[in-house]
Amino acid sequence: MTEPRPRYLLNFADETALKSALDRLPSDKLEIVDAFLPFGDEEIAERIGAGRNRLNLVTLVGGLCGAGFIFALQAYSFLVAYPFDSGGRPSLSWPAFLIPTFEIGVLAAVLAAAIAMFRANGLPRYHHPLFEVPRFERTTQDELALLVRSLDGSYPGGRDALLSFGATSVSEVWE
Amino acid sequence: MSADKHTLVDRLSRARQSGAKGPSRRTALKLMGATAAFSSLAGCVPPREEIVPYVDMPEGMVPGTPLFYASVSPTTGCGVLVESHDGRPTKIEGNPDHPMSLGATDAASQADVLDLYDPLRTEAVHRDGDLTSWGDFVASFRTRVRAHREQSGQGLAILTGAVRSLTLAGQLDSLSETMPEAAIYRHEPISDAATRAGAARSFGEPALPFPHLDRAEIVLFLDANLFAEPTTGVRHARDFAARRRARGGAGDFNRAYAVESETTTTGASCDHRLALPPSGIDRFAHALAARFGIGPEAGMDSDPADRFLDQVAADLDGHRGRGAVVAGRGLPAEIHDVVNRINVALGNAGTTISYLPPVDPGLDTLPGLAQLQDDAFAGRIDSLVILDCDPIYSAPDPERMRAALEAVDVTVHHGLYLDATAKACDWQIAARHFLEDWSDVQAADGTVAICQPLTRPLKGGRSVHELVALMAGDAVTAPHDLVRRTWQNRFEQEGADGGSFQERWRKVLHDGLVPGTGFTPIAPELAPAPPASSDASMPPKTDGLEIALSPDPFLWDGRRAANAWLQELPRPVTRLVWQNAMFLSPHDGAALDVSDGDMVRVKTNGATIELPATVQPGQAVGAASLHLGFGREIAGQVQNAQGVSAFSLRPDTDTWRLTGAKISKTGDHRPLLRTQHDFDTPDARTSEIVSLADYRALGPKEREEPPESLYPERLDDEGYAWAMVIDQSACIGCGACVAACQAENNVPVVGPEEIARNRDMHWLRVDVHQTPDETPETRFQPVPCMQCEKAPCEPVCPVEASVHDHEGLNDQVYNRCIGTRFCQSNCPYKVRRFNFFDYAGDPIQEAEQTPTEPSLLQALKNPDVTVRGRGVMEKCTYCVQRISAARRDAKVDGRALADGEIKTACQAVCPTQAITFGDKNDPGSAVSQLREEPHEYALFGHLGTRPRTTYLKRVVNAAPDLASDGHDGSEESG
Amino acid sequence: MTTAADSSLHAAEPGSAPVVADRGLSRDVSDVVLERPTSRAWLIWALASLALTMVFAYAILHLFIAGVGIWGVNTSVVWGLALTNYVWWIGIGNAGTLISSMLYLTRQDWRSSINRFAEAMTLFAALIAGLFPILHLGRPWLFAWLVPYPTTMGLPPNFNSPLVWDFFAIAVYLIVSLTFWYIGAVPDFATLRDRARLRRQQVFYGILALGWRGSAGHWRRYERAYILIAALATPLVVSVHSVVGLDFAASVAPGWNEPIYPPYFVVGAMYSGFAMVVVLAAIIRSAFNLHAYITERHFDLMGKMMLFGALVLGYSYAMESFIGWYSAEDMHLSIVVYKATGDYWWVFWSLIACNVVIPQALWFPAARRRILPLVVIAILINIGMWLERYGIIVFTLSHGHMPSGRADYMPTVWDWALTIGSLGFFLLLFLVLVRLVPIVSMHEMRKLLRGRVQ
Repeated sequence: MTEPRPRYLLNFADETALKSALDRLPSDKLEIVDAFLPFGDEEIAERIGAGRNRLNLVTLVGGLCGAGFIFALQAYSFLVAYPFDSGGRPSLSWPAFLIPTFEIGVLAAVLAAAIAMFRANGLPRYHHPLFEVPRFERTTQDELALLVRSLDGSYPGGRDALLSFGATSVSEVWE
Repeated sequence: MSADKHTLVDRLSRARQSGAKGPSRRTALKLMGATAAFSSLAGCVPPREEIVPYVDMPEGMVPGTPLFYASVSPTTGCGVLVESHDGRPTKIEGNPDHPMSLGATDAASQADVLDLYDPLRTEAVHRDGDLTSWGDFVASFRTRVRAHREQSGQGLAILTGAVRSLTLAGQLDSLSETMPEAAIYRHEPISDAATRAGAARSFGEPALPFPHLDRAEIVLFLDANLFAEPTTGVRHARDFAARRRARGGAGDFNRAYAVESETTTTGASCDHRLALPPSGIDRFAHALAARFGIGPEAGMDSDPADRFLDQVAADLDGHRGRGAVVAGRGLPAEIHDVVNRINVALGNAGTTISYLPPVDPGLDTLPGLAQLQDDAFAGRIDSLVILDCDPIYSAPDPERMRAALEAVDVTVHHGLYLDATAKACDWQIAARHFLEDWSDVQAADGTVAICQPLTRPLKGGRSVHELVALMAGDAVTAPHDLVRRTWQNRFEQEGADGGSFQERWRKVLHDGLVPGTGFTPIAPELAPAPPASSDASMPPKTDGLEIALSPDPFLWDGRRAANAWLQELPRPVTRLVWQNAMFLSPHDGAALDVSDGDMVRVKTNGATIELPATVQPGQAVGAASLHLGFGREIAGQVQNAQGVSAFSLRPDTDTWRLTGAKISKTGDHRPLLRTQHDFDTPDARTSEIVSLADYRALGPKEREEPPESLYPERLDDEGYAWAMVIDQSACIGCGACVAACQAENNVPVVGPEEIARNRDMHWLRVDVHQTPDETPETRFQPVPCMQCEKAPCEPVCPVEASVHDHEGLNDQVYNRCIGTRFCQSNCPYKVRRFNFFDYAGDPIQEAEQTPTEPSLLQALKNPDVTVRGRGVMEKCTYCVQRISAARRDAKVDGRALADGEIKTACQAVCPTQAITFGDKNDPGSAVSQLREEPHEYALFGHLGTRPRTTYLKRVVNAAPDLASDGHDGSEESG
Repeated sequence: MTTAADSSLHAAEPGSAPVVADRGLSRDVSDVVLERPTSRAWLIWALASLALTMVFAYAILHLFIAGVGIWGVNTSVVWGLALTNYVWWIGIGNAGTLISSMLYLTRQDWRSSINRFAEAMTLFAALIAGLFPILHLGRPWLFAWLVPYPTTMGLPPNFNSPLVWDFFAIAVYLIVSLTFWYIGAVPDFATLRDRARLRRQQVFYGILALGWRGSAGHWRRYERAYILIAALATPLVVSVHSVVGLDFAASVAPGWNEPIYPPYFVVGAMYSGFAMVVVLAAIIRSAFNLHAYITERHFDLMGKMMLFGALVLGYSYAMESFIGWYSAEDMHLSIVVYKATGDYWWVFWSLIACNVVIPQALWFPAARRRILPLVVIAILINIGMWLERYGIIVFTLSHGHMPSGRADYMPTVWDWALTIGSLGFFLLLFLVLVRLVPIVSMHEMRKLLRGRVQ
């Protein structure tokens, strides 16, 4: 069994600091696990290759399914379940059906997008090692952070060496 | 605001009260209803004596309904058929065999069943208000009567209204034979005294003119609201309408003129109407007489009136022997005399008018109230028995009447209600409703019909026959035996040609009338004309408003004041309910500075009343009209607090006009209770009216197609397609259809408060449309559900409560309805009605929370029709229960439904047969033929609703010379 | 302690002003819910609105016991204040989502400071709006029959009925708005979770935050989802009020049967919505002195939006009357005349004044940038829009095709209790919200400030 490889949480004051750190971190010794920000930032996500998704497709499919279902339901109720004469309208009065179809379509699409997003993000998750790191809480307020893992054993120099990459603080994270 | 009337608090408190008794208030109400239903069922067992069901119903009667019994309404004397569900009388139809009914009834008769179950009716026998037994009464009264009998009736007095029962008349006669000293008085608040006196002047004996409107080609109504007469109105309306049917481009029409003060159903049905104050009508009669050489030469004082007079005179002259001049009860005797003489001069008397002896000769021979009061004060009366009349209410001077009663030693009141008179009497004896009693009633034409009970007395009432028999010391007291005896004797006198008495009696009971009892008219031989006093021939023009009194068409003399259906039945022209008002012409309204709802004070003959005024276009300038019959006190509560009694204004019981009355504005205002506020004509693009000339010119119908629909036709031509056509030429707006609909379909009463909030429940209404001009044209339009083929109410209902059935009916499924009211808001005809409260649960209404027992009234409900709960929309169904009943029968017999086999309630009752109902897929059916009439039109046809209910335009036979102020139709013919 | 020291430390560093701003922002906004004690003003308002909410509840209870008969509705005017309030509230419920979605899509970043409570407003308004059609029913306990589910009677709803469309529109709109609002708030909940000192706060916001960690991946998917939902919400908002318009337009009643209704309802909704946002923004701004985040510029922009609404609405009114005359359809014309001269002329003319004439003042920047006049105008607009909906219902129903069926309408005390009560309920919900949820979207503000620096 290999001895546990420590992870380090590097906090940065702002994204410029974080980005420069990204340039300088030795990719042979350190693997960047994730970045944590108080706001969204496409560029950082791109650089650490996080959060690719097919949400557009999911949403489209979800919407179409919802719409299709409700239209089918309406057609079924009027043609099969309970055909009746309502002011001389034809049984398949599709123009009227379009409104519920649209509404439910939108509903399904929105729910699909929301649920897919949370699932892809692995949320809800109430217990996470990072929550044990006191400094981590700043990442939801005013600091940014990088989570790195050394590729072999513990990083030479440990915390102090890592501070040199411009981090305001370095905390060890244990599984 | 009545919202506070039923605040949460007092509801909860009520709930608590009933909670103390166990169930909540609502369930308590239900239980009461149920128990009441059982108890009333217990009460509703057929009487012991044999009564004969009206088994094989004549053509056109509604089959499938349980049992029909022939009987007769004592008020109208018209034969009726009473529908009885398991011993519960629920609906009254006219008796087709009866000459005064011919299958129809008036509006008021429809409501008679409600009286039977009326919770306000008094029970059994009371002494000074305390419940005792009939036995006690008999015990104490018999000795008293015996004492009277020993002194040949000295001190015994009997007061009755008009006596229409032969048996009762016979009993009274034999009573006065055995007790010659006994005094018998008559009091008929709405009397024909002047008419009879007029006839006495002309022909030497009292008589009532009976015009045969089906024979008359020219009719002139002088202040005669003939169609509202309880005894003859139905027959007159039928005869009148028979001469106003425009069919197949032809139609032999009479021409009708009316001269009257107030717009009446009769006047509104005429081709020409002239509004004059009472004095003006007298003047007109004299002027008309003068044209035919009777009385001094005279003319009218205004140009339109003169032209009207010329036209009428010319027409009458041109149709000698084929015209009729009819005078109303409000006119003085000498005018009736003059009119009789005109009719004789024109040869109408005996041909188009027969003069019939009055049903109750006593009215002319016996003393009246005034005499009664004098005798009472003079101490000539020890015992007074009042048979079903309320003199304290209807006497000219109530206080004097009350004093008179107090002056009498023992007073006995026999009647349906604990009214003012009953309370003033020592004994109160509950009378029997005619559906509980045996009797025989004579109609205006003399025809006698037998009144047979359908149920044992619900309130332990006693028959009038029994009471009189007791006084007469008759051995026989059972009403059945008394009536039977009368006819046994009568048939024996006639000889045994009609087979055994038993057979004849059975047949009489079955048919509901005794054949060959009709009057033979008196010969109209003129007595020498009395010297026409000049002042009489030319009545002086009175200054100030003349007040014209007339009976309310529904409540009549107040005898029906307790009937909620009639209180809430919109009055024909004014659409007023629950109240009476003083009608003023726009001119006089402006002069007095009053508008609708302003209270006015009327002072005359030492009496003062206050009531709201309404400004009626078409009311004669100088005449203020008032209806009698309101404001009667019953069971301690004044019926319809909004209504006011005007009897006290009269100096005596035969006065119909008051002059010199002080009318002033009180300053306060009470919104009128009416079910229609806007009297405009609905649709400018299709007029409801066409002149006879134009109608004849119309070619065969080129039906103006309804706008194209985007949707394919759903309703195929297979099976039945129900449709209705309503003939506006025939409709006289009497409201019988509305009352019939209410009785048939369990339509609840909502009460004055709800009416004030513009809520009403009538499924069928008779709209009144008035042209805006000086002399407005009044038209009636009955509006049931249009049963649109493309019904706007259906697609908007979210829960399919409003759906179309395969026979084209626009159904309302009550248990699906959630009460969005979208259907009504989208209905162009506004024919849907919503249960804002639990109207059906409480006989009056949930909101008012009047502590009335729903008990007996539950027994009145038609079991074939769902009773609707709170929060549910309801509407006209074309009487679907009757349709399916008939369909069931047809299926059983394996045949198709015949045309006319189904009659809707409104159609069956209509006196003028204005309503036709049937299958429009059957080209032979009456309804499909009417739908091909050139003057058939659909209301708001341009909306593309494709109504199944359509109308025939009102065809008017206007006189060319009067065209301008009448209507030549040319400006309106659509 | 440490945190405080750090922040001061960084404050010293150059170019880190945004960080301070960040920090200040996070503090300012989250302190409102975490630290600041409930002010007396808040208590007074809360009690007042609670009282009105009681009135609301009482009115509903009495309604259920006594029935809709307690209202002024009658045989001709079968709809009354209940549906007036419904249309009015759903209109107000529109602006929130419009602001957040439409302005988000059009990159109107100024929206960031108002969208949070605007969305909350939407949520509550739509909620209350949804109550009225149910209360208005004759048998409210059966409203579920509008839902397509296998009922005891095996009856599907009638999908032809605008009321069913309505039901779908409102229900969907509620759910989507809630989702949109919640998703927008999740990162801020995370901030609160991490700033909270009290255990209960940490648990409460911790649960709401769903364990949000703000990883770069989270953010990327998050923003994608957010923009997708925004893109879907925009047409939804439009459809919702178009459907409300169809409730009337799909009938044959004169004055309702107008093709212009759907668009004109949408604009009307946006119009009244913005007016309400202005009022709320002014209150919140002064109550929690967020002048730094809700600036004159915001009011200026919203003032312009309202001006735009006033113009379009004015055009719609004019069009309605013009078509009435142009169609030469007598009933159509008569209703137009009736509006201006009939029993309810005062309703017509005051709604014209409130919705079209008075807002013209917004042409002047002074009226837009100064809070008081703007708020006054906004309140007048809300009154005017209420009157407009009242008119739409009462004009037509009291003046239908059938002259004999024409009757006027007088609301009862119970109608008013429900109307006023609903306002109180709305206010109460809002007051509670501002104590629980950050009323400005912190993460969007952060991004905004970053943008400023770079």
